[in-house]
Amino acid sequence: MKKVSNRRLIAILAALLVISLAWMVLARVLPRGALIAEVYVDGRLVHTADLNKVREAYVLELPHNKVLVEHGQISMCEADCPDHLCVKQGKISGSAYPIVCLPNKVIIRIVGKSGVDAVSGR
Amino acid sequence: MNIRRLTSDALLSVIALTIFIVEAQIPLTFAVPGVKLGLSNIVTLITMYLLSKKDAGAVLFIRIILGSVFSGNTMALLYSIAGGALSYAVMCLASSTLSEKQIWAVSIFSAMAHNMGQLLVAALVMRSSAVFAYTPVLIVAAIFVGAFTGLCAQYTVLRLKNLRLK
Amino acid sequence: MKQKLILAICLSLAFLCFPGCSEASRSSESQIFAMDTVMNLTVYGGKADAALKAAASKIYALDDQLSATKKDSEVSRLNASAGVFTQVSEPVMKQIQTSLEVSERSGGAYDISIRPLVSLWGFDTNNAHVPSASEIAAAKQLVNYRNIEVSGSAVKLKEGTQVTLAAIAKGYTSQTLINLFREMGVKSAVVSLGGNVQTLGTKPDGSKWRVGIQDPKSASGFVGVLETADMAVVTSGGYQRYFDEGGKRYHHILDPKTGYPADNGLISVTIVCPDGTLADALSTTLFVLGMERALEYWRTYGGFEAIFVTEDGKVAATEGLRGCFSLSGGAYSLGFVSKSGAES
Repeated sequence: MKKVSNRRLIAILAALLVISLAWMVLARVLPRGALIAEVYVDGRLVHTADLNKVREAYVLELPHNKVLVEHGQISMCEADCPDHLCVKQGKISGSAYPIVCLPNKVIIRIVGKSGVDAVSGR
Repeated sequence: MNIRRLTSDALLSVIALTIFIVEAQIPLTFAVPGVKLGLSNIVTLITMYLLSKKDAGAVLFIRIILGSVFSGNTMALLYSIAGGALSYAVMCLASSTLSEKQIWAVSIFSAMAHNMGQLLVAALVMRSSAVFAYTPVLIVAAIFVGAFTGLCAQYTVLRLKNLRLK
Repeated sequence: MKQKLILAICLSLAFLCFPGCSEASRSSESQIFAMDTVMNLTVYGGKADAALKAAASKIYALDDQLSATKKDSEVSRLNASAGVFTQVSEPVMKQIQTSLEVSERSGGAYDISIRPLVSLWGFDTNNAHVPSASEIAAAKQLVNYRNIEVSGSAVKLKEGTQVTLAAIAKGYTSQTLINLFREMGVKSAVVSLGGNVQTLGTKPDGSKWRVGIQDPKSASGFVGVLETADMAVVTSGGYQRYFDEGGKRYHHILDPKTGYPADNGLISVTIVCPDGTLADALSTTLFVLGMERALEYWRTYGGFEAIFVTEDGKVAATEGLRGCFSLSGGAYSLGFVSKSGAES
């Protein structure tokens, strides 16, 4: 039976301890990774994008709407619906509430926890 | 299997079970799922060193099954089995490699294995790898908690070495 | 041999509990477009899928019944037969009765006969515009909840009276869904019908639901978060539907007395109440009443709690919400109002 010295053991465990603590610190400090946005038309997912990975903004063309996908945010830039509430909503970057174009049944939402189970408002 | 050994196993199982149930009553305010003292592991360790690996396995198994039946939490059974299996495997390996004066280390490694086992089950149940974010916390907890229970076991083994348990 | 048998039995017992492990926390969601809005339903537990299916049919059925814009809905038929008693179904009757009670108590701040005004402004179509003062005066004449007469299960509207259940329908629907879920044995669910939130029970793990109150000034932020169980949470605010004309903003919550959008310093009112129907009616009512009169209403009648967000950055919540409601971020200041009038 090979003998493992106490010193070695302590070294291994100390290393593990330090790595774990560092991991915990970094997890708080660094930004949260992916910011996934999804676009649904009439209940069907038609486009997904990680907004944090978008380098050059682009426009997603849908039959009745246009979606502007930028780094860290997404918005409805054009729509042929009468009230344009979806366009007026502006840019979203959090999962608090989705952009909805009711007449054309388009929903743009950001996936992830917003800390709440439902939003009272509209 | 002689009577002496059987009796020892039974006694140790009961002790482990009692410690387990009492410990379950203590609310831990760490707010991280899975952080607990694991004091009943002291018994598992003592069994392994004073009797044999097989006995330790039996005592652990009984404690897990009855522990979840008596505490009424069958959901936890899945987690307990996974954690128990992994920690037992690591305990066997580590006890073969390390000396009797290093039970504290055996305990730490088996505690880490126990926590990783539970994380694995959690990831499977929730179908998401998000739970692995808890890994560092559980490793740190395992180091401290494992050292404590390991030291308790080590001193007990030292004192009880001459007890004829089998 | 015996040992192996015992081992086998133990293991089998262990495996038996696997299926039940996560049943209660399994959830199903569905998204439905109806009543001129998007609805999100989330149900937990084994009955989730069945419950969602039942909910969808219920929603479409109610939409057909209650819409004032659909030509052959019950409400439209009622509006077309002014002057005579018309039989109405239970959903319609319940909403009319609740509405009349709230109208009486609020001195007419809430009035379902406001349809002529709403149509005039064009909020129920897509051509909203500012009407002339004389047009408004003319339409106002037709608005009076006293013109609605109820007898048994029939309703009679005075000539020229037109009703709309738009301000209460979603609340009635959410209450109906919660009742349906409860009947089906569901223990945990949350529905959001275009922002009308109602919850059933608590979350599967026993914790309360967290409902965010929308912050109209920020596209992705909340004014605050409410922790609740078994309650309806409904918010009314001008920011939800409006149009701009001549440099001014006009929102959709009209004051039946003036004929113009309510203008009293409130950005939004959130009602927390066990009854979804009442919550919906009250949110519009209290928004029109303005904070002072709304608090008077609350002190007199109670049965609900409220959160007011004012234009000058203040949030006032009624005493009963202490411990359940907290602000998110530093954009607003919070004060609680007690029944005796003291603010803290």
